[in-house]
Amino acid sequence: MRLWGRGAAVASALFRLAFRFFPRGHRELTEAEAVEAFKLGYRRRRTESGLACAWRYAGRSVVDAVAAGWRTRRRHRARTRQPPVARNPETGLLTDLGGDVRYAFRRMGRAPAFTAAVVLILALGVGVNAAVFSALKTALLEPPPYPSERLVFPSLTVQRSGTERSNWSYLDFRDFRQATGEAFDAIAGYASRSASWTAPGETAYVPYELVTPGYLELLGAVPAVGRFFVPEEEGATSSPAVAVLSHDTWQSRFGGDPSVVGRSITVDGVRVQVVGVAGAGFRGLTGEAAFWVPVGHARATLGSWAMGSRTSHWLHAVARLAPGVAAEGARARVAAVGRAIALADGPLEAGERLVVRVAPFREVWTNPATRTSIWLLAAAAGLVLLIAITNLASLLLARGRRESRETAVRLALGAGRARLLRQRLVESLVLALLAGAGGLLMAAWAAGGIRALWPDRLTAGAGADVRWIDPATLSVDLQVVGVGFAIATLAALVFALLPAALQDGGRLMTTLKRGPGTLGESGRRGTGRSWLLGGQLAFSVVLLVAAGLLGGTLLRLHGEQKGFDHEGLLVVGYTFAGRPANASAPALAAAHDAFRHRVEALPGARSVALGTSAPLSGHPVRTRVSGVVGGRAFGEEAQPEIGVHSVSDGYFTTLGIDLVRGRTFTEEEFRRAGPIAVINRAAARVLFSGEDPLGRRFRMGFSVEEGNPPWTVVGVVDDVLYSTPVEGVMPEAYVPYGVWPGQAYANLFVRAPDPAALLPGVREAMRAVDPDVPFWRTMTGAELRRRGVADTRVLAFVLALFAGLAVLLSAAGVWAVVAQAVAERRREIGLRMALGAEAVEVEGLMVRRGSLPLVVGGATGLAIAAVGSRYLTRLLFRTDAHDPLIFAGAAGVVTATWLLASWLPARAAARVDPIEALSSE
Amino acid sequence: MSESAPRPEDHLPLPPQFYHVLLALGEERLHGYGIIQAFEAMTEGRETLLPGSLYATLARMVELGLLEPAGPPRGATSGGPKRRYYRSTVLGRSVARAESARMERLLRLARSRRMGPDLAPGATS
Repeated sequence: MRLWGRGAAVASALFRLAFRFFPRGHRELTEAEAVEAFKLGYRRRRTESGLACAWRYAGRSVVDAVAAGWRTRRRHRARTRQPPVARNPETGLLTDLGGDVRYAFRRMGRAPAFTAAVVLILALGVGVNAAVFSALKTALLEPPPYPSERLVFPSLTVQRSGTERSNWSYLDFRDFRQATGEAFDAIAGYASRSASWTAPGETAYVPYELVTPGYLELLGAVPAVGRFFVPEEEGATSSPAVAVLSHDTWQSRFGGDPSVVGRSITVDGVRVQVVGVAGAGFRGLTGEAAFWVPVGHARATLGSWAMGSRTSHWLHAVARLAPGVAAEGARARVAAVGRAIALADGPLEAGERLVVRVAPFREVWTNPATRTSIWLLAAAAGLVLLIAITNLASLLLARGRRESRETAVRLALGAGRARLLRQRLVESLVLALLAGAGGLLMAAWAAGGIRALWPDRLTAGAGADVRWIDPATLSVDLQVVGVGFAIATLAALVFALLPAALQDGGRLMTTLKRGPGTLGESGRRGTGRSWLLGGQLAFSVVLLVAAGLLGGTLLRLHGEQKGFDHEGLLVVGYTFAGRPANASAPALAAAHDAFRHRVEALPGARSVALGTSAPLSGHPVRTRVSGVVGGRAFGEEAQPEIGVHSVSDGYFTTLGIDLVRGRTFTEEEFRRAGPIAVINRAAARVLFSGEDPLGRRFRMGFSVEEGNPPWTVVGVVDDVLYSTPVEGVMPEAYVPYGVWPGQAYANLFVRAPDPAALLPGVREAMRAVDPDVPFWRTMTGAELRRRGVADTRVLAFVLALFAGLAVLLSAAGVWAVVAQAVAERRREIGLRMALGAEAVEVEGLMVRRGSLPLVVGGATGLAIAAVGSRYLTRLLFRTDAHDPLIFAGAAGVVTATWLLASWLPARAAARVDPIEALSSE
Repeated sequence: MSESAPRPEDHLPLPPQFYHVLLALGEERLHGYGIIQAFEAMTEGRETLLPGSLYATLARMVELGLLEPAGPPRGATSGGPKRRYYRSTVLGRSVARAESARMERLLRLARSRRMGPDLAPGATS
């Protein structure tokens, strides 16, 4: 009995389930009664005729309920919803828009996969573009926060064997300013520096600008409080020294207190009096200055030579063209004056070339490498959009074709052509709106991604002294979204309307008579779609090549850094400049030592060392090698550049730099100022051309130290990259830190199993030595390493993402086209199979069908990439812009994708049952 | 859409289930399961009405004016779910008659073509 009861329960549950096929209204009214009737029927059969009969009844009832439910549902739908055309074919063009919109939604609902595909593809294209072009706008197009028209950057360069220094010495700048007064409205000099700043609030390391009076006014700044500099303050021998604060600094450090004027701050140990505050938003040409001091302050920070030398070039010039003076005229004047200044010290030597430039603002505002990488991203995003649009076109054209019969029927039934077009228009707009919303979401997400990926700040200016962009300012620009959206909408409109518009009345009958899936139908328009695909593949190849080239660069950059061991390394940068410890050389050495010994005593610190430079962080000191004693003498034009690092004992072991030959310094040599040096492999190669360098002597000259004795090589160490990866490994010389006893600035390196955990202890150690010395750099070796390749990494990553997206989109396109071709040629395939074709042959046929566009598209892509990759050279590092492996790889990926994407539907085609395919209409 | 008086011929040929329901109902008032029972009894269990489609059919027939909802007959027990009762309308009954006439004509035609029930396979004659 129990069993009987359970069978009835299962059967009525099934019936109830089947009953769900009825529209809800009907179900609510009749379900209880129907289920009751079913149960009674089941029970009667079960008792009268047995289980088998009861279950037969149950089965029939379930099928019957499903069928009846389906019919009822269809009848309801037919009654409540009819396309507006059928309902009132004579409606005017401007009425019943709501009906069209409803109809559009209904059509979209009927093909959810198609709708989702269109919306997703469009959203991707628009979103990615909006994010990238927003970044582009921030970095390149956004106007500076000061008037920049007619601003130029005059520079005087003595070019020597390809290198150039385009900065001015202070004395040259002063002469230049006097001599070219009439060509310019105003000329100012500036230099960007960082300093430890002691003021209310904590001691910190902040960027500032050394400027000539007039600089702030030249850039259109106005004082918010107090005044700017007066000409007499330029030399700043007078006391007290003065400073102007940025608005941000004033707010954050002094809470916007207007009585800040007259207060003192301490910059690198020099007391400076605040005389004014600049207006809000102004941060100088570098975009990050916390305050400004007159150039005379350089005496305290750079050295007394800074203001009295013609050979140390540390100042940039910026000028505004006088009204009525063209850039050309200014250049001629600058050239004449520049030549006179350059030749005042004597004639140019052989191989030297004097270059005078008046760089327009635009050129300096954004540096070439940044410009290239941003345009590269923009191009990549553009290609993704193009691929998205071709995909969209392909989808919409295909649908237009699928629906050509429906359209023909409706035209034949008297629907107006305008009416049909309008419906398509409304539908495209609805699709585009949905996609636009999706695109906005995608863009916000992508912008977040770019922000997260970007290094803490992005160089945008030419050289280190111009402009930094804070990635936090990157945000999605609505204007940009709007443009991308407009393009996508336009594309959607064109491709949605095209099929409907092309269908003319004369061909109505042909279309009507032609059944779906007739032989030879995949003619002209099918081929058109294949060519669209070819285009997509070409773009994909281009993106893949670009991503490959950047990826190769990234790999090689990482390889390049193996010179030092970044694992378990902590780097802390500090300076005693302006501190009591800096009072005398012995006091300074004692302070460095005290700090170092305290850190050595920390638990976990395995070894500790000091050095003037950290890998991948640039060269604080560079000079030229004039010759090798008893060996090569370098002509003036060919003097190799060499980086000079003063290091403490333990430097090489702490950083994990391998000794290749000879020895490092002895404990005693580190203290004594002997002219001995350890050089790297590159220096050994360049200076001694492969001969044994040990014991050899060479001369390297500093402008302030002519006549020094030559340096004796005692050892050779492995190459380490100090400056930018693109510049590559340079010849380097390490000298004992006793050589320059007055060095206030240093990096402390600690090797420890968990470097980050050691940082609080290191801070404590410095506090014990001097509580007012801030760290301007605290990094683990891993961070140091990442930072060195950050730009390239971001670029490679984003490009790889784009390339992946492109490949995916084109794969989807290929798949759709082949799948459709398969569907259209079902009968043909069935016929072939019936006539004895093997499945493999059919698969081959379908895959081969699109191989010409693949070959042509792939070849075009490779050609475009080959031409275009030349423009990427400046972003590449030890990677040939025409690396055959990368090109072949890109072609391979695209080919494999194509084959896979077309083989999948082709395989389905080969499984077609010939009978079924032939009998289908 | 003005509906002029519907003519029985407009409903021909009548879907079999409609015909069965009208036959089962006759002049009585029955609920859904009652119709099933009556029909099965009349056909000695050779034919049946399935509950899924039956209720959709009843609704449709009410819509077309062939049936009308009716109150329960006096003395009907009210156990289980609330049951709705139906009876045939005048139109319904005349449509059934028209369908019967149509089928009779068809039957005559079938006989004349030697396809009558008396010549069905297995029939002894």
